[in-house]
This record gives sequence, C-alpha cells and structure tokens, in this order.
Amino acid sequence: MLPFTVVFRPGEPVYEQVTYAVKKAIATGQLAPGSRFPAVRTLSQELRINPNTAHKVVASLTAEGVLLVHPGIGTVVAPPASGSAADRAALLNDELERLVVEARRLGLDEEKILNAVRAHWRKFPKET
Amino acid sequence: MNAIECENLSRSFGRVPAVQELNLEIPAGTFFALLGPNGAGKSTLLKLLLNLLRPTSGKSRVLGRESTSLKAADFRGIGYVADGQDLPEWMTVTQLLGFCRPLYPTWDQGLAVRLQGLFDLPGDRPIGKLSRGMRMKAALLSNLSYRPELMVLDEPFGGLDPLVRDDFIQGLLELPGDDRPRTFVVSSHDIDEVERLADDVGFLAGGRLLVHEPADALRGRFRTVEIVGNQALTVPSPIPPGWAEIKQPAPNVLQLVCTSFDASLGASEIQARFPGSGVAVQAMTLGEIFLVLARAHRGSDGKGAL
Amino acid sequence: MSTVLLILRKDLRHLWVLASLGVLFSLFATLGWYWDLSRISTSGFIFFAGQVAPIVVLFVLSVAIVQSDPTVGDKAFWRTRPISPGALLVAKLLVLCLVFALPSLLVNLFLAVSMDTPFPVLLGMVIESTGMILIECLVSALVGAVTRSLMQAAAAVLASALLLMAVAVLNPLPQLFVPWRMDIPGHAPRMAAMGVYSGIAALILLAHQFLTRRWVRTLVLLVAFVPAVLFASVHWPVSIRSTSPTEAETSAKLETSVGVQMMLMPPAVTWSTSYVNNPATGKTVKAHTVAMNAAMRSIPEGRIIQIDSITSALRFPGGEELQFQPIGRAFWPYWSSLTQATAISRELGLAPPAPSKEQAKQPRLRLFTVPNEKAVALAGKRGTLTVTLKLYELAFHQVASLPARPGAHWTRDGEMWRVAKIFFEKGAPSAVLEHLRATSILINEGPARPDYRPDGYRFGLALHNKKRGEFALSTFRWFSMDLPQWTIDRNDRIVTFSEAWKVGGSPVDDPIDESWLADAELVILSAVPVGSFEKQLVLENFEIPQSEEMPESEAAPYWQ
Repeated sequence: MLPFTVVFRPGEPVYEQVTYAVKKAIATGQLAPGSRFPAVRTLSQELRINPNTAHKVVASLTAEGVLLVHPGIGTVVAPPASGSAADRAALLNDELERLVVEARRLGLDEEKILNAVRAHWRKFPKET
Repeated sequence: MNAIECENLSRSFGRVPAVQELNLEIPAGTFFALLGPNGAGKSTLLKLLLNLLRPTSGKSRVLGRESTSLKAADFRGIGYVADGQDLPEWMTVTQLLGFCRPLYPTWDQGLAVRLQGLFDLPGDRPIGKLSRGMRMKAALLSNLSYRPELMVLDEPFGGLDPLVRDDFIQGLLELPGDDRPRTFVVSSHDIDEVERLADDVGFLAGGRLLVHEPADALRGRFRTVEIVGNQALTVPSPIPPGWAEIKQPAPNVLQLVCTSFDASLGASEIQARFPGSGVAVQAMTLGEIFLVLARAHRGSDGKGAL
Repeated sequence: MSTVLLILRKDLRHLWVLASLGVLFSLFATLGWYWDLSRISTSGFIFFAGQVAPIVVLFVLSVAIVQSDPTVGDKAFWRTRPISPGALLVAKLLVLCLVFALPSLLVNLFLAVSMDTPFPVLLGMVIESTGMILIECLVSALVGAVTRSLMQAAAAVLASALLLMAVAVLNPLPQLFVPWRMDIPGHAPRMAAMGVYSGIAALILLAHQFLTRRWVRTLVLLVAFVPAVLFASVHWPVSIRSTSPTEAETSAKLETSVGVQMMLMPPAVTWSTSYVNNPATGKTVKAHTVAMNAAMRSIPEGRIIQIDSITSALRFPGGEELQFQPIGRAFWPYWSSLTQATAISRELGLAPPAPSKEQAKQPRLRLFTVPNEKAVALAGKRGTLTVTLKLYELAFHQVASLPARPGAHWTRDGEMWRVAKIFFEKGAPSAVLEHLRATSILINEGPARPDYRPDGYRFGLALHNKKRGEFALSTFRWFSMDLPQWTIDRNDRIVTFSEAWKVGGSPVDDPIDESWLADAELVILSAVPVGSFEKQLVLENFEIPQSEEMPESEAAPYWQ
C-alpha cells in the first residue's frame, strides 16, 4: 500500500500526474518529512505504471530535492525546503502568473481569486 | 541499443499486402503499444519480427539479430504470448513449467511459483481443460518466469474478463527483477489497460505505420474542443491545421478534435478565432485517440497525416 | 544434448500409447514376415496390401509422433522457444528408433543368429535392416516435421512418389525401379526402396525450403542432393565384404564328347510366323522362322546338356555373308524325369535307373529367324550355313539333407531349409518348404547372373529312404512365393514327390505313405553348371526355304 493516492486523469502525462500527487501528499501531510518513500518497483506495481515512468518520477523528485536518497536506508522524503521565503516564493513565479492569467480570462477579480486561494489553503494542515 | 528495428519490411499474402514498407525502431527498455484496427497487420508484424513468418522484402532485427536468422538460443531472452497459440493441450501447468525450466538459464523458479499463485492457476489440470483466460495466463506465466529482455504480446486481452486482465498487468509489472532494460511490445485494441504503462505508441493501419510517437506527446497534442457561442458559428475556411471530426450539433455549437494542440498556448489560439464564445478543451485517453486515428484512416483510405 | 533428452522424456511420457502401438506393430510386422502369417495369400490385393501396409502404418505412426509437437506454421508453440528444429527432430528420431528400429533389429538379429549366419553377413544384415527402418522413419519424420497434418503429409508423399515414378519411367538410368527385370543384383529392390525414400525426402525438403522462401537452401538442395540420391541408387558403392558364390563341387565331369548332329526329319524344314524385333527399324515384324528338326546324339545317360546360345551365319559364294541374330539362353529345356533321376542318383551314389527303351524326345532347334522380305530376296541363293552352338552341362550337387518331417530344418552359413508341412495328395507326398537366405546389400555377391530357370531347373529335391532303398523325386508345382528380397531372402516352395524309384531304377510298387516317410530324409540338391563348350555345324548348299502357304499351327517350339 502506498502512503498516498493518485487519481489518474486521461490526457495528462502519467509522470506529471504522479509527481504532482507526491508533492500534494507532502503538502497535505500524508507523506511526512523523513518518512520512507516506496521503492520504484513498489510504486510501479501499486500504481500500475511503467517501471520506467516510476523511475523517472523518483529521479526527478530527487533532482528537485523533494526526495533524498540515503545509501543503505533508501529513499526518504526530504525536510521542507530551507532558504528565505522570498527565494521560495520565487519558485512559484510561473505557477502564480499562470493562475492570474487564467483568473483574469475567466473574469474573476482579485478578491474572488484570493478567497479561492484561501479556501484551498485551509484544506491542508497548518505548517509546523 | 534498439530492441527492435525494421527496415522497409513488407509481407504480402498472395496479392494482399499485410505489411508495407515498414520502418520502425524501438529502443531497449521501452514499453511500446502497437495500436490499429482489425486487419491492420499488427499480428503479421509481430510474427515477422520473431521469424514465425518470413518477409516478402525488407529486413527486421530483434535484440540485434536478424529475424530471419534467429537461432534457438536467441529465444532465451524473448517471450511471446498470442491468442491462438497452440499450447500443448495435454500438459498440465506444472508439467509445462517443468519442461520450460531447463531451457532457460535465467529461469526464476521463485517468480514462477509466486506468479502461479497470483494467477491462481491449478497445477495439475491439463491445459486443454482450462478456460481461455487461464490458458492465456499459463502462457504468460511460462514466458515471464525467465524474465525475458523482450516481451511480445499479441492481443493478449481479447475476451478476458477484467479480473484476468488485472492479473495480466500485475504479472507484467513483476517482470523487471534487475537493472537490465526490459522491452515490451503489446498490440491491442484494448488500449485503456496499458495506457499508464506505454512509453511509445505506434498506430498501424493498412499495413503502414501512420503514427509513431511517445505516449505523452500523443496525449499532449490531442484535445476535444467544444465551442459554444451566443450566435451562429461558422467553421473557418480553410480548415485550420490539425482540426478533425468537426461537428455542429447546433448552430452555435462546434465540436471538434484538435490533433496539434499546443499546451503552452492553451485554448487561446482557438479562442482568438471565436471571440466571445466559450471554449472548453479536454484531454483524451489513448483509447479515444485511437478511435480518431482509426476513423480518419478509414475515411481517408490511408492518406493524410494526423 | 540435454534439450534432446528433455524432449525425449516428454514424448515418451506423453506418447506412450502411440509408442506402444509402434513397438507392437514393429514386432508383429517383423515376426509375421518370417512366419506363417505371411502366407495368407500369395497374390493379389491382400498380398500387395501386406507389403504396403507395414510401410503405411509406420508412416502414419511416425508422422503422428512427430506432429504431436508442431514445428511449422505461425501458431506452433515451440517456434518461439529456445528449441532448435534440429534438436526436436533428433529427439523425435530417437523416439522412432526406440519404437520401430529397436524391436525390428532385435528380431532380425535373433533370426540371423538362429540361422548360423557368418559374422560379416550378420553385421551387414544388422546395419541394413536397422538402416532401412531408420531411413523410413527419417523420411516420415521429415515429412511430418514440415507439414501441418497427416493429410498434408500423405499428400506430400504421394505427390513426390508420383514425381519420382515419372522420372524413373522417363529416365533410362534408374532401371532398378522396374521390378520385372531379372538381370539385376538381388539387392536391387532394397536399393530401389532406399532410393525412393531418399528421393521422397529430398523432394519434400526441397518443396518446404522453397515454400518458406529459403532460396539459398532450395538451390543447394536442388543442385547437390537430388542428383546425388539418384546416382547413389544406381551405383551402390558400399560393400563391406565381397563374397563370390562358391563353385559347386560335383562328381560330374564335363562331357565334351557330346555330339550334336543336325538331322533333317520330315518335315525337314518348317516355318512359322513369329514376331521379332527388327533391329533396323525397331519395329516388331512378322518373320520367317526356319526350324529344323535336330537331335542331340551321344549324350550319356543322365547327363543334362543345355543350350546357351545358337549363332548362325550364312555365307554365299560371292563373299556376301548374312549374320543372323543369336538366339540366347532361354527357358526350360526339358529333360525327362528319368534323366533327372539318373543325374540325382549318380550324385547321391545310388545306382541309376535303367535306361529307357523309348526314344528320347528330340528337341526341335530353331536356328535363326529372318524377316519375310529378306527371305524372299534370297530365294534360290545357296550358301554355306554355319551354326555355332554353345552348350553347357548341368549337374546336381547335394546341398543339404534333413529328416522328412515337419519342423526339421537345416542351416549353414546363413542359409536355412525348413520343412513346414508334409501332406498327402492323390497318394503322393507333398511338402511345403521354406528356404531362407541371409543377405545384405553391404555384402557384394558378385555380378548379377541372369537366371531364367524356374525352380524345377535349379533345384532337385529327393526323398531318400535308405532303409528300403527307394527314393522319390519331386515335380515342382509352380508355386514359388518369392517375397521381395529383404535381409532374409525367403522363398517358399511346395513340391510333390510324385515319382518314386527303387534304387537300381525300377519304379516303386506301393505308393508312399507315412511309414515310408518316417525313415526318409529330404535331400536338397542344386543344379549347377559344370562347364560349357561349343559345337559347330556346317551345312553346305543351304537355301532358305520359301513358300506361300502358311503351315498349320503346330506345337510351338520351346526354343525361341
């Protein structure tokens, strides 16, 4: 059993969906920092995805720093990113811009979008 | 290293061409889904690759060796499961495994036992007395147990109930046991089963390979589009490139399939043509993409690129 | 190697039914060949079926065994497994050997040993009988391996056989396929059979390689294999030992004092129509047949003189010479039972019968044949006719003697005579005799000698009752079942001993009965040529007779 779930949607690359699901799981606390991350093989079998894809997921998450590989222990979830808030916020630049563009296209004003953001934010447990 | 290479491979049965001048390269370690309508030549292609049929012209190579000169030892790393294979009817599953085991140096008996349990196959009933699903599972079992480098499956899911299909996929996923690349070539109508597993997709119709690209790229460029306007819409002329299956169920509604969707532009390009209308874009499963391709081929008699 | 054993083990386990059938059949066929089972019928359909049935059964069982693991077609399960077609075929062949060749080999071995066969012949027999079955199995296996069903296999074999027959008929070379020629070595039918099997195998292999688009192999087969097979079937090069037939020893000595006088007896000259082959035109034409009554004089009693050939030439005064076609050795020059009795008693050391008072029948000699036109053209011309007669003498030589009761047998050096049955008919005893001879195509028995003589003129059989001092001679019924020669050449004969003589020559008073037989032994003699010599006749002032009248049909001359 995996410590997180993935609901596959058609049309999107599998690799991206799984990567996103992992990140979401970390954000919701389903995957705690320092906890063991399943092996590539387990990932592939449980999710019924191509082992190559599973490998790619783990590799890219490791490259991004979301997962850490400890020789002898295995793969673990990395502790939350360090660095200044400003730096970390800059990582989300593209996503934020995209969000704003879409919101404007849909005709939402600034307040509505901020409310929506807050609503989603509260779904997740508080930061420690 | 390519697991499979085809160079102008052709095969005709009498006057009827089954495979026409096919060029294909499948790198090692890929999961390749071969799609196509009935009679497209998928089975013929797979049989040509494994020297079950000889080509009328052209060449093919499997794991680096010419198909037509595959020796017995070369098959130690190749697995082949097809519907309609003549399994030895009188052998039980246990006898079949016992017979195959000494033939393969890479045989993993532990895996065989585990898979037999997973597939829930009775060990002492003759294969002739097993149901179709169990036979396919037995065939798969006798192929997976030696962890072949190349696994070829020809319509393995035909007529199997979802539970069996599930077991199948599960078995396939058990295959990689070490770091050697394992190549899968699966031909199927039933693409949804292997949607998540496929790296590359090839679409075969009329004996020709019309589409060959990574699954993600294929999924990336196909979208269904629905445009709802508050007045009557006209189809732009000339028809924009990549638009297919344009339907107009109501004067102000247009539905179409876009085959060259650019994710970074999003729907903005379409939106620009129909200012003031609502544009809804949806991704498609590989199965739906297959249907579009098949219909296009049927309609165009093999012409036209998609 | 282990792949082969793996398949072998699997096959024996799975095909044990077929295998058992095969073993039983093989034993039955081989044994039945030599014992009374083969006497169901001597001719016709049943006999033919008895020859063909074993081959068919072997073929069907072999193909079934081979096709239990299909290797052709795109659905064959084993084609995507690491089993080479070679290994599969070898394994199948091993199964076939165990099932067919081994039982047959054991039976052959047993029989040959019980016949006291000398070792080289034994070895040759073993190699040959096993080899023949192996070739049949190999061909069946090959055919089964490249076809998909028994029907296809049978069709392929039939087609190849027909093709080969067509080739044989059109091509003068493989004349061995023609069974009625008598001037061919004894093992020729077996050679022909091997040639046929090999030819069928080659053809089917060829067809298979062609149909599966293996062009190079097709070409190689076509160029190399097929002619090789045909060549080998004609010139059999292998011989592991040469034996020449032992010169028979007999007490008879060649009598060259035999005189032959040409006596013209009325009607001096006769002619009759006969049909001869005109060598000039190749057509069969009516011909004048000049026959003159002649008698052979001065033949001592009990000597058997036969004519080998008559060559005639007519020379005219102007130097012109007409050579007539020689008349060769032919069929049965008759000699009387009295003559035979005399010859045999001489050999057996018994006093010969008294000479007969009646005049010996004088065989009519036909000197030459001449076509009508030629005879007319030479009308009235006189010349010197020179007739050269090649003669030879036959004498009887004792081969064996055995008690005259059923079950008695005599063996020496791979030859066996056996009394199967003795029964009485019309007051005379008849015996059914089996004559077996161990042979092998690997033993070269010398050049073929055409022998047109039927049994009555090759063997003498006598029942000799020493106690009473009487013996009986046989007349052969024309019942000689010559089975196609195999490693054990078998000929069965039924003989009736209808003429009984007292030693010293007078005929016996009482018919022979069982008590007579109880004290009798069966003596087997063979008639062997003792030597040959020539006599020449010269007739001056000879003229070819002419007439327009055709004669009444008369007793056809025995001489041709």
